Amino acid sequence: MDEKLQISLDKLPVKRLEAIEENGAERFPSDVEYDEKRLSLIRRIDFAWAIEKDDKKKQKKSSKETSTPWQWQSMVENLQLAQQELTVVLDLIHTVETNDAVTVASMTRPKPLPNEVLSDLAIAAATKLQCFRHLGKYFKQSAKALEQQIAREARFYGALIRLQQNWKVKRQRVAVSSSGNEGFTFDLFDNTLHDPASVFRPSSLSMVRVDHDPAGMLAINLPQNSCRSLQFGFVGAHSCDGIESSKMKIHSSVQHQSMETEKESVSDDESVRETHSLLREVHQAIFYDQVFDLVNREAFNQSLGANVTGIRENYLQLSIGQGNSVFISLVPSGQGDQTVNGAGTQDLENAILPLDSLEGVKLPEEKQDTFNKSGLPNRMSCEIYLQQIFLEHVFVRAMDKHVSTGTRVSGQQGKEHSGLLGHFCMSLAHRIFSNKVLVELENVVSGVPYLQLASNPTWNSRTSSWTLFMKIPESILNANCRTQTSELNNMKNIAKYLFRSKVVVTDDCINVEGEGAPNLIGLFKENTQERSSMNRYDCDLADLPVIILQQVASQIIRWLQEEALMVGIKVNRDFLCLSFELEQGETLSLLAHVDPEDAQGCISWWLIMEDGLAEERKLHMDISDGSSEYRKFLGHLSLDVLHSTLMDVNSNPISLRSEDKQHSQLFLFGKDELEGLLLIYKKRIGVLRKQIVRVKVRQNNVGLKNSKHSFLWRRSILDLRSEMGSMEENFIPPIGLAIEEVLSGGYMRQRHSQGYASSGDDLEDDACSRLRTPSPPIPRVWSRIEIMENVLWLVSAAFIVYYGDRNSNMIYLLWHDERIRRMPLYIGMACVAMNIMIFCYTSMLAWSSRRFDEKWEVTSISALPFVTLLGLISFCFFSFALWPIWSFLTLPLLFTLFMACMVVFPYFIIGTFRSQNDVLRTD
Amino acid sequence: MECVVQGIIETQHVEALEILLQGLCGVHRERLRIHEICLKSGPNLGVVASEVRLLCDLEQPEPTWTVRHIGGAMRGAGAEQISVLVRTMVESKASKNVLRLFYALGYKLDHELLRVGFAFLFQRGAQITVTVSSINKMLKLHATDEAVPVTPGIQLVEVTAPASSENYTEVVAAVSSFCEYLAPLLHLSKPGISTGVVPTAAAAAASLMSDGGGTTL
Repeated sequence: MDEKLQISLDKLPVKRLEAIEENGAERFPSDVEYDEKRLSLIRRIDFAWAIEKDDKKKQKKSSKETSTPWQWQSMVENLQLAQQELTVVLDLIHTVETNDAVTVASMTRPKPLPNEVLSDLAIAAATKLQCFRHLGKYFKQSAKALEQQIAREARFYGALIRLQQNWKVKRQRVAVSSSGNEGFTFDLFDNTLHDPASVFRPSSLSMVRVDHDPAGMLAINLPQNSCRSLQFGFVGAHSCDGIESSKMKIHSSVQHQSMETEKESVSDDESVRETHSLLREVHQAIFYDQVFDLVNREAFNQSLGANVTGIRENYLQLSIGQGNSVFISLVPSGQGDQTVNGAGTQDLENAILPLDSLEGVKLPEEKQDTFNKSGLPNRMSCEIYLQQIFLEHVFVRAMDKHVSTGTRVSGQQGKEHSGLLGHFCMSLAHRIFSNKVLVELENVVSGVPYLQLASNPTWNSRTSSWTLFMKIPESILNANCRTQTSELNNMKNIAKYLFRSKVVVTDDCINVEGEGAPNLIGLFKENTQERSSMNRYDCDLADLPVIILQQVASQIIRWLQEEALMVGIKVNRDFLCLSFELEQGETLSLLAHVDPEDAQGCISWWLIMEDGLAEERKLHMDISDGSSEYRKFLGHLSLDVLHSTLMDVNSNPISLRSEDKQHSQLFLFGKDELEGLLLIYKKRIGVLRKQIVRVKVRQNNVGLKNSKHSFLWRRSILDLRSEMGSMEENFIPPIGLAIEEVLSGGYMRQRHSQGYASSGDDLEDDACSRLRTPSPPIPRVWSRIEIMENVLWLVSAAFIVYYGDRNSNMIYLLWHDERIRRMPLYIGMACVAMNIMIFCYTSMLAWSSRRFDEKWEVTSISALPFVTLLGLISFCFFSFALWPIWSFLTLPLLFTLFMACMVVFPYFIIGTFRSQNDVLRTD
Repeated sequence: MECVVQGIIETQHVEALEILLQGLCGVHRERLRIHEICLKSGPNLGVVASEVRLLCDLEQPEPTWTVRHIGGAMRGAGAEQISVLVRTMVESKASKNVLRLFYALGYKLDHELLRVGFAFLFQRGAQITVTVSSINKMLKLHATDEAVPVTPGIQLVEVTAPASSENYTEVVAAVSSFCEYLAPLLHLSKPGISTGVVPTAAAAAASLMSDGGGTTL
């Protein structure tokens, strides 16, 4: 098997792939250069012949040695040969190893033994196997890498597709510079909503680049501090902690997100969600940017409602009127801030602090408290409202328009929402203002117990409306309407007695609308009958409580007036005053006094007494130096007390019409302001009694109205009694009871004279056991007419006494004249003397029992018929006795003398008794 | 007709809801105190049984009465798709003797309840009324002063808007778009489909109240 095995190791000139990178890029060897070529040519030099020659030499040598046999010779030669061969082989190997410039072109190989061949084959197979194994490993590796890559891509695109459902993804066609970036971006600036030439400038944020993160997951890159949020607040009413806390949340979420991306274990779902929320935040920030942009534009475009008072980077301060300012600013929400939170808050701190320096005022803590209490709306809700307005009117509307008409002229749209900031500021101002109005109204309502407040829905953010109700209590009406049987009538009455006035606040104008509100026209017209006239007028906040109270008071006055008219009393209504005409030109007026500052009650009442010549003094009524003007403060009366006051006046027309003004005055006060009045009662009880008798007499003449009056009278007594109960114990009650008795006595007598049965049980009320306190005497005040009258009576009486029958005076005549019938004269005189004695006796009896006021009344009642009889008898006898001298003139003469006595008697202590008697007698 | 959606909210989040509503509506809130009396027709009254609700507004100084009849909801595929219930509703102001009238007509008292809360009424595509109220039951008949809450801690939120057969689609759109704004705090759905409280409510409420909910800033 002598054959040559040729091994050629030179490379093929084919361009071979040198390496394949993991990402599939192939690397080729560089072209073969000249040196290398030459080297390879050298390598191909064949050394075969030299080796053959060597072999021959060796063989020759070995044959020679065999001829000279040395037994070890052959072995030595063999060894030498072997060594030579070995050196050659080593040489060759060495040469090949050191520089492969030697190529073994061909080599004769000794014929291999079959086992050698087999082992060769085995080795070849083994190396081949090794190679294949390597190859397999390599392929496996690259397959794995590819698989991984595909998985990552799948993750990425899966996430991208999922986000694409909600976000607009753009692929940029621009050649990408670096590997691993496909040029995907999220387009957060929503073009569909806006016009091409829109008012919005695209924000730098609007394009968000999408990146692969090392885990193959979708990641987005945001510039530092890119997310800003809109912040709204009231100047002078802000706190840092609130903002911090709200921003802190975003901080934490951001950090959370960044941590998540680092973690491999996070699931796709979660990371998509994170990205989604991040994108949403960015979107929101864009929205805030746009809103702020719009606000800025509008703030300088128009001047309605808002004035710019301060501006800085990302900060706008607006004044919205009434001394309120708001600021709108963009603050970084710390997006992408990987530093600690402290840095972010520091940032915010910086954003806020200049405010104070700008303002120049640092409000103290308690001031802030009150400030907020004064009706500033919640900062958060204002912020929401601002965003809401812009969202609804700019963005949503723009979208609708876009959908419906496609493209439109942008200028028109810009016009359309130009009033939004104005609207916002005005609604804000309105809200603040209406809160103030509400506070005022609540103050008024709390000050007037019979007033109620209800708010009305207006459906408008710039209009608020409240209704003030005043309802006359049913109790008064029922008591009043008892005579009216028809229910329909009653219903009507109830409707009639519900007054309402409406307060409407539009922007910052208050409009008050109400029935019977006092206005200038009503003031001049004096027409009391127009009741359903609605008046509306504007006012400002400072005047509001006064106007409301005036309205309420005037409605009460009107109501009282109607009540009075219904009973039949003539009253005049003046602005806030109800005046009753008394006799002799005197007027008694009930005057409402309105004071919103009053803590006890906003409406108080005064009673004012004027004499006839006070008409012109009405103008300066509040100057209380009028000599004949009498003012009395009644206090804050409730409606039913007020009503019963009126009814008192109504029930005593007599007292009003009496000549004696003071009595009526006393009477009214006695009902209304007990504390001061009862003193007067006590001192003037006799006068009062006379008044009551007169009442009775007059009422006899009134006729039909008697029943009603007596009813009201009784009611007023009951009221009095109930009020009495609440008065101070040690002072008022005995007097009160005394009054009661007087009043009921009058009442009883009144009935008696009408022919009703009288039980007189009212008189038996326990009127004892309590001490009276002394009170100072009150000087009596005479009116001019009264004085004239009295003087006239006295002068005429003096004339009669002095002139007598022209010859001698009257005293002389009574003593010496023969024409007088002596016997009837003496009898008449005896009767008069007896009358005097009776009075003395009864009064002494009363004094002795120390219960003068009460007993005196009782005994005089029992003695009354007797006294009257005696008086009449004496009158007759006097007439008969004096007839011969004066004949017909006797009667006027006697009457004149009697009147003179009337005038004089009050100045005697017991004169009152007689004068009353005489009244009865003459009438 | 009216469009209506309902939801519930925990009482501790009502304040946040109020802030949100105040911002969204821009109007003042109205206090609400309504005594609701539900009457059912007697056995021999009419062909079909009917139910009438008498509402007495106790917030007014003079209680005003309203009689309301709520009819059946709109049905069909179209109604299924929208997220708002559209139903017929007839309402009328009444005088104060309306209860007597219905008793005389043969109606029987079924139940009564007292709603206490607040309402926002505003114009937004439609006249939307949002009422947030706690439902109270009365232990004694008509004893509105001694009412006890039926579900303490949970209040009912109801969004209603009047509609007509012509425009109800717009009203539905307006109502449902409004409801979306309330989403973080509460979920509103058709009456009868209970959705429960929203898990995100606490977080949303906290962020709304973050500046103290009207406390000093």
